[in-house]
Amino acid sequence: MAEHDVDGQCPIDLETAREYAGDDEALLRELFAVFLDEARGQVTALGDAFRTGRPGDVSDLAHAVKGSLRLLGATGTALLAEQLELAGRNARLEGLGPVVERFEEEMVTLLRWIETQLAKGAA
Amino acid sequence: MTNGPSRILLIEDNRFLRRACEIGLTARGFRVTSAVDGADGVQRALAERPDLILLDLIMPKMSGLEALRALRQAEETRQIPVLIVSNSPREQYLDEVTRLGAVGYLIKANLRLDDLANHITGVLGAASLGEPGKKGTS
Repeated sequence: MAEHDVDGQCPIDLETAREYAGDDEALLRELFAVFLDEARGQVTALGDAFRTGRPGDVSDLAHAVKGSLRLLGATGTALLAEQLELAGRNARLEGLGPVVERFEEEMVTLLRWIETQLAKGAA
Repeated sequence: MTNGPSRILLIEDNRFLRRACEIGLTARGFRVTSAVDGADGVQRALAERPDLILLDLIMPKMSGLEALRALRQAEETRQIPVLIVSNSPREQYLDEVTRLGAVGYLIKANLRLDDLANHITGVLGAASLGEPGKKGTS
């Protein structure tokens, strides 16, 4: 799996992801596919929960995606998810818009990178 | 413990982590079944009586703590070693899960699949020797 590609720099610490998977490239690919499948819906649902003022759902969704992000080495995005989780848990969504937007942007970049990697593997 | 691969029940609501553990631990010689929340986990534990249970704490329907209490109350599951695998702060839960008989508390974010497999092997080894529980942290 390439660390860099024409779409830009790898948005995760690939070494962390590889270590987690025990240097098993096939497993890593499968995990990327599961993450892709799972995270798309979570990001959309989290944005909806924030925009419709449901802090409990913001917290639950951020918590869920945070765990996967950490294991894949997306540490910066995981920290944003943690910020959202804590804010949601404390029912403090005011002023959180920029964090949600940044989280969504980083997730789009990450998911696009994973898609590219999986497409390359399937070719 | 039965002959053949050790049977692990994974109780985890995050699908990504479930799948990662299912594939990773199966590749390392364990037989893994999984449950999607605490209530599902307790039901499966009663039906399957696995050799070891991996238990997340924050889950819908029934939390890990509630599941652990239920597992300890039931005659069929009382003796099954339970290893907590969570991202919740250890200092917040360790005393209670230890009092309820969990044999270890692992932090998911710091845990590679190889390390998890090693912890499981250690706990199962201690259990087969009749030790009350090998405490593990990560």
